[in-house]
Amino acid sequence: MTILQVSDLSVAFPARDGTVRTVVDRASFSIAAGDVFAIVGESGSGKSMIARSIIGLLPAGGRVTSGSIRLGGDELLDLEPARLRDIRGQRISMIFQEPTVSLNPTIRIGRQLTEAAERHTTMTLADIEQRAVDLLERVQVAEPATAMQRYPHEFSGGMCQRIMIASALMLEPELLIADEPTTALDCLVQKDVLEILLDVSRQEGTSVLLISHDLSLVAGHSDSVAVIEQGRIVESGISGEILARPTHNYTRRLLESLPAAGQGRQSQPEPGMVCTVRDLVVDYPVRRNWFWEKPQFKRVLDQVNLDIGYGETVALVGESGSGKTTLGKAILQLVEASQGTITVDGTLVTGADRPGFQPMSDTVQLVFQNPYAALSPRINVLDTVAEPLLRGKDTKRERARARAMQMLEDVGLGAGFAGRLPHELSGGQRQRVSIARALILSPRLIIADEPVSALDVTIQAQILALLQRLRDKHGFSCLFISHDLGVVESIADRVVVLYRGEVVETGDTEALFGTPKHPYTRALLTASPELRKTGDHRYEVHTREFAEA
Amino acid sequence: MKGIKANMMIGGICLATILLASVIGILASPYSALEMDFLNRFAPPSASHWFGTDEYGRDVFTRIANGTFVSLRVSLAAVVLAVSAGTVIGAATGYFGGWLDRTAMVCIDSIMAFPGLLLVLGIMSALGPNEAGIIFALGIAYTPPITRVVRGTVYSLREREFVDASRLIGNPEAVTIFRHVLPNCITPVVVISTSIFTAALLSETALSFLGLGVPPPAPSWGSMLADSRNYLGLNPWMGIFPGLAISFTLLSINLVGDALRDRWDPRLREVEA
Repeated sequence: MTILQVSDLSVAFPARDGTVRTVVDRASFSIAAGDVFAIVGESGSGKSMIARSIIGLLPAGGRVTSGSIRLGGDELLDLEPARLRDIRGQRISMIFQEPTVSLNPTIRIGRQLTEAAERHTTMTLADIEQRAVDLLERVQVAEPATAMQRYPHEFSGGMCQRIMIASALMLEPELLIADEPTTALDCLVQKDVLEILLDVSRQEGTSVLLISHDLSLVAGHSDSVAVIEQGRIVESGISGEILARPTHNYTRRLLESLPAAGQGRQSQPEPGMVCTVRDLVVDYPVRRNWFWEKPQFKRVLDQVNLDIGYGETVALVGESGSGKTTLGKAILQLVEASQGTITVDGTLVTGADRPGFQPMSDTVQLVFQNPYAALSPRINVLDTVAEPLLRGKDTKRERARARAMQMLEDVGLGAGFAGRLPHELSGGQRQRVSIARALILSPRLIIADEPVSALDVTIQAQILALLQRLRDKHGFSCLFISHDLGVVESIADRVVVLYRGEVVETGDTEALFGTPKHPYTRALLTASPELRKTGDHRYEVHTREFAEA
Repeated sequence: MKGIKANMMIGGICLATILLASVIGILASPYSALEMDFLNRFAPPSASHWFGTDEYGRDVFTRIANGTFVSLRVSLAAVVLAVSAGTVIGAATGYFGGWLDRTAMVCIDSIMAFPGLLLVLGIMSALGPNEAGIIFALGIAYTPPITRVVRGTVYSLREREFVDASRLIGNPEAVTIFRHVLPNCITPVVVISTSIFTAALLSETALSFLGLGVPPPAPSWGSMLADSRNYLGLNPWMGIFPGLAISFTLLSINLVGDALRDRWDPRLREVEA
């Protein structure tokens, strides 16, 4: 039985020059009762717009220009606002990407869960509260009865998302729209939350419309899928078939872009270590209420050891808050070490004899995670890349610019980009500029802090390929910080696993991915299903399993 | 985008008109701002005296025109002083933080604790009622809000990745501040400077009104308003025209300020693209 039938749906936004920009173009699909239907696509493809037009929450200016959306027997696009509100509360509900901002921080959990039910049902308050507690228990929130009395800030992001799920299912909706429900969460938490979401929905008989950019996740967890490219659904059908044997070019390109193991390993590391970290401890001061209180510290890194050989790519893996960025920053001297030593290219960069910041800009450089914040907004591309060369007054501006132009060419940006400002570039292009700036001084070590996490999968593949090509050409070492194991497996020679500020495991990529020893590493590796290439345009969902050690 | 252009147009045209009229008033007027004519006291607006004359028979139009330059000069100089001081203090405290920040902020907070005009009066009583004194007093009084805005902006910019990038490529802190941090403070500084410009203009008028501004008999909008009080019932032009001059100048400065903000904010341009 079909729950939701979308046919020929088009959504348009007015553009500044008076024309109309179509963001969803004649999309048609239907969701069967109890099914998990996924829409996958890259950012800007219009997948969220489809979800939002179903629930009548298009951003300002957006308009459905044609088509129909039928829920059961009702045409949603023809409903008056009052009726639509009833449907929104009772028959369709939605959860969003960022759980911590979806809940109102000033209202107790219990009140937020019961609010909609009080409005839309005739149940007594006691019954409603009973149902809320019951749902909280089923989404595995500890001590559900007490949780009702608490505020959102007392819960972690993962817990907040579970509460959102409970809240969305309160009125037994026919359809639950989940827009990137786990994207903001850590890998391990992601798995739990998604499984809970799907389990509880299944028990309740609710269909799920899952919006995601993550192909492996969709392949592992959805029944049907639609692939969307620039507002058009290019391919749809049963997930197992579409993603295992893609036929459309775009789907093929998406799957082709998934990182695969051992794509870019480096064969011959040179002798010697470009960077050694010994017994590194980093403490962050905790804010004091009164200045006479004793200063308090939070230990972010505890007795960390790390070696990076010349020409080697070492990946640093861990969940958010594990201290991986801090370790990178310590090597760059952007944070101060409390104890321990760091040596970069033979020079000691920590310790009592080196107080203050003395940049090692010729030796070690950083590529940032967020390409939007990494570039100075008022300086054009060419000058951004040339700037490192101009520190010494002896360098001629013309020569620096010529060299920068060459570097831009190297990272795949032609002369046409030289005069542009950062806001005129896409995310991938900005990341290329960022890489060019880091490489122009020919450093021995590049620290890449989640360099591809903010990018779409096709762009991600391009940037990774670029990094590998440049590494072969310039021969730098790389500390690659990432939470994405697929990316790590494709690019790293060696992996270091960081858990709560401590290194729990380190080893060659193949060995570590094959036979992980530490329970945390095993949990990480089993958490995310993965699409493995098995042949020409043939894929299968692969979940790692390990015997308990 | 049309609205923004309209702001700029209307504000700019008003401001230009005021300035042009003032230049004409000074250069082409047959009267001087100080010349008394006791046969023509309290003359109503006419072809020979466009805005009428005051109790000494001085031409109101000529006096307003001269007053424009006194007021604008004083408030502009005060804003320049406040912006320079505020930007330097704000950038230093926001970027380096620590004890420098804490000490400077205590001083700034103490200055802000005084009502603006009271502080200006206090400083002026020490410096004497002359133009340099007014400029200095207004400049000090308006430094704290600029400092606050710059400090806040710099403080958040300091955590941005491109500032880290600048330090990592070996730029000295001064280069980082001037090249990467301060240019991104332009927008908030422009916005607050225009609002401070209008506030300074008003304060200058208020001071003259109280008889503490540019010393008489030099023409000034505030003192003209003060002089008109006794004759407002029978000779309203003495007060209305200086009042209109003040309102129009303030309005057009605000419009131009709005337009400048919209124009200089790269994020707004991004939306446009």
